[in-house]
Amino acid sequence: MSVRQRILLVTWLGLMIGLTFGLPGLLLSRSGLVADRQAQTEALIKSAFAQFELFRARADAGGLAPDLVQAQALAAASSLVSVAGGRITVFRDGTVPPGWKEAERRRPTAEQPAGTAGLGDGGVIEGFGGLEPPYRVLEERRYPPWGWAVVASVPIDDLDRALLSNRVIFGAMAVLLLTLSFPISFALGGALVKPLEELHDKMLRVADGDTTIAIAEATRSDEIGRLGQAVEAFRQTTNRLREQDERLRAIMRDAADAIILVADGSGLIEEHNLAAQLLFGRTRRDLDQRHFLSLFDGADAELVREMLAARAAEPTGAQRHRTENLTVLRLGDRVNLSLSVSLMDCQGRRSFICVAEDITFRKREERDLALRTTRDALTGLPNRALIHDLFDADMQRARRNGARLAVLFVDIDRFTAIIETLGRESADQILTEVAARLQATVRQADSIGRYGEDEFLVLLDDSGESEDAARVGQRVLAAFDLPVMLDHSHYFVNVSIGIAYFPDDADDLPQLIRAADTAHYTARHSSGTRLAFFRKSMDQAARDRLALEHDLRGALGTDQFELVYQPKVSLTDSRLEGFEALLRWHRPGHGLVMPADFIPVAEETGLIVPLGDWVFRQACRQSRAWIDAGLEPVPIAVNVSPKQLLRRSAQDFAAIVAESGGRADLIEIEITEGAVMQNVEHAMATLAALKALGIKVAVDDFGTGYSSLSYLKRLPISTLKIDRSFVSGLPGGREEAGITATIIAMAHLLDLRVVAEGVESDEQARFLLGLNCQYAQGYLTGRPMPISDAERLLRQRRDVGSAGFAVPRPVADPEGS
Amino acid sequence: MSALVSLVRGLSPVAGEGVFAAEPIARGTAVVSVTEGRRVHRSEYQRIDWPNYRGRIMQVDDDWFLEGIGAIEDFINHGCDPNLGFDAAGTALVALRSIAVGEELLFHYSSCENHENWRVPCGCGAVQCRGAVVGFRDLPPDERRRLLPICLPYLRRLATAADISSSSPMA
Repeated sequence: MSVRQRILLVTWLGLMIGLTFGLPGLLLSRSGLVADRQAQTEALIKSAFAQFELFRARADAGGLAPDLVQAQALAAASSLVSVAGGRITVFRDGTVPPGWKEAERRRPTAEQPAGTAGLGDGGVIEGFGGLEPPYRVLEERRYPPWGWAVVASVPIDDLDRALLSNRVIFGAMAVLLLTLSFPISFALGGALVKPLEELHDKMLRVADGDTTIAIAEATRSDEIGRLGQAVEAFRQTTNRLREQDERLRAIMRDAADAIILVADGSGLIEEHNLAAQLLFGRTRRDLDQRHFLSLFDGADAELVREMLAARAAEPTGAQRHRTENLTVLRLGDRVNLSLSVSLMDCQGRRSFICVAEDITFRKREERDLALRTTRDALTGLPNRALIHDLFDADMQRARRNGARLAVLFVDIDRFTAIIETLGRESADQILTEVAARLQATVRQADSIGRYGEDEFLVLLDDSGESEDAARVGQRVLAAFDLPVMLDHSHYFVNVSIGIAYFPDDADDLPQLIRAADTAHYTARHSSGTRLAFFRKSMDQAARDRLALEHDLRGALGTDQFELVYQPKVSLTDSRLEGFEALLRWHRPGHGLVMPADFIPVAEETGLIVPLGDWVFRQACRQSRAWIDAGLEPVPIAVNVSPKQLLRRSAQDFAAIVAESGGRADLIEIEITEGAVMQNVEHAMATLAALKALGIKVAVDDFGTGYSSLSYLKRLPISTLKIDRSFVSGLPGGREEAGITATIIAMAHLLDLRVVAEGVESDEQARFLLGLNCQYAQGYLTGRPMPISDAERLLRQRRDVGSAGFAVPRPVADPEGS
Repeated sequence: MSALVSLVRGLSPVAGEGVFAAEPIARGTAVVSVTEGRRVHRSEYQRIDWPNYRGRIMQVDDDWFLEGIGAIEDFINHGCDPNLGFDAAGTALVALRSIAVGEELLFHYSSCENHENWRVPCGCGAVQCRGAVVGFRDLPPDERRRLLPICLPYLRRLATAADISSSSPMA
């Protein structure tokens, strides 16, 4: 029931109760008043009797005549008037006439003679006839001393008139109230309920989010005003909360990380943001009220479930739990996730705040970084650092189990030359192919790594027998029987392998690798197999070689090197035709070291290039010195190594000639066939440029290498030198003689000079002369000699006109020998 | 004035009509209340047209008068040896002795009236009767002193003040 209805009901009920009890109340009060009038009759009679007694006493005292006294008493009694205007009537004969009382009861007050009523009769309604008798109350008493009947009569019709008048007023009031009750209650309800209803509506609007409405009721000073103030406070609080809520929503909406609220207990998603939809690749509806764990698969779901359970067991303020090891499938892509979980207790309702981040990119970076730091970028094999880790672990295991390990040190032969001739790109292709073939060759359990530029290591696990390692080595070698296919060509790769054992050859990894390296070195320099096992003696040789390399490096720039000169002599007239400059090294603590002992090391280490430059410069200077000394100069031949020919251009040589003040036409360089073959184009260009400068070129050790006639024809050379291995077999060896004769014939055909090397006997000299070889070099014509001896020869040549060599004439027909 | 006990009006042996007790009244009983009725200021009192005035009026303060409500107690006569007197607060007339049924009720008019040169003949027949009633101010001092306990408070105040300031009777 509404308040309005209640007000109406209460108004009506009040009216009804008023009416119900009003009338009886009126009647009751009338009966009370009538009783009062009855009492007045009593009072009148008592007063009359008191007067009678007074007069009777006076009569007894004063002796007045009884009749006079009775007359005075009668007058006094008759004068008595009660409060309500009641009077005494005395019947002296002691009897009230029949009917008098009835008549008296029916006599209305209005009929009383004017003035006798005295008081209280101003309210008489003239002509009022609606009242029913009796109009008076009577009381009769006898006064025995005189035998009088005394009747007191008090009016009551004035009461009924008043009652009637009141009744009329009451009725009119009742009708009025009944008539007005509805409008009154309506107005009352309106005044009270309407503001309440309006406040109610406003409250609903505020709760609905319309927090900008004005609460005018708040300015009222009554109870409605206080209610209005409460609603205004509610509106302001709601507004503040809404603002706060909007801010939080904006933060959540714009957060880059996925934020998901998950109910503790049910595990359902309560709230989520846009980033969450994007991260999981699901629509808003798809995420709403979904089980959070259902976003993950198998083990991940279990991991997340454990995280939530662990977090739920802790108090709300505690550290958040975090993992980075989750993956989800987002529209077919695997996405790495980090997830951190904290717990929120809001009004007793607990939720997990799950913040997820897409860390796919970072994970990939980390993986790449790990690969970069542990893997060789080109081949994808473990790099040096990872090899150490892998091998260390294997060695420790082997040490525990008392097992053996074998390490294969695999090195690509002449890799520097490969880079220089084929270029870096092809070299990389070759490295990649080598790595692939190695991987294809070894067992799964074995580890492979790229140890250096062109060095690979293979660790054979638990290699009990030497044959096993050898077999693997042979397989590796066999893997390179086929050429490596390059973009436009193919290349035969040779590798050499050194093998060392743990714990036989070394007790720790660096030593083991060094041992394998040493063995590999041996293998590379041995002429036969390209595979070698480590032996202790190798270790010594390797150490010696290392010391030599160290000393050689230090010797550059000092005066430990010296050039000696071996004369070249004409076989026809024994004249000195030139010198070949040869290098000697006075190694401290070792005495004189021959080129054969240190040039290979210099070649390998690259020291040959600066060393070659020094030799070339020194020879130029010497030539200049002899000219300056007034000696007739002869050409000086200088050996140029293949590496030097590759690294240096014709300009470099020209610069050295110019700088040292030498004459180009007095300088001859000697190269081997192999030097040209390593990079034909470059060699051709360089040699051509040198020839243009006037520098002559000789091919050393001719006949031992390719000896390709077509190359020979194209090379801008001036001299061929016949290798000492052929000359030493002369004149007896048929084969040597045939080759020598052919070379000489070919040289003449190409218009080249021919110099025979290693001529030691007259027979050889004569034989060569017989074959029309013009020049000879060897012990017969002069050992390599210091500068002073060379100068003496030059001086003799100037003074005598010949070098004074006793060169015999040919004694035999070469055709016939 | 209104009656607090049962009273009747009748011809008085003293003068005209009087009021009689219709029930026995014990000493000290409040008989008539003097709080009801219209209060009239002296200015209005002085304009009253006495020949046509039908009401009864008594003085209750220096400048204030109380007009009777038209009840029978308005007819209480003066008595020089009264059986009614004002109580201490001046709100009622109380019985000064036990009053029998039929005994006329009387109070001393000088215990409330204080008109200057006011004089009404009295034939109450009491021992103390001096043949006339005058304003309180015009009473001899011993008479004033006799009435002091039963007169209205404003007169007691006046009397006390006069006695303190001067030994001579009020002028």
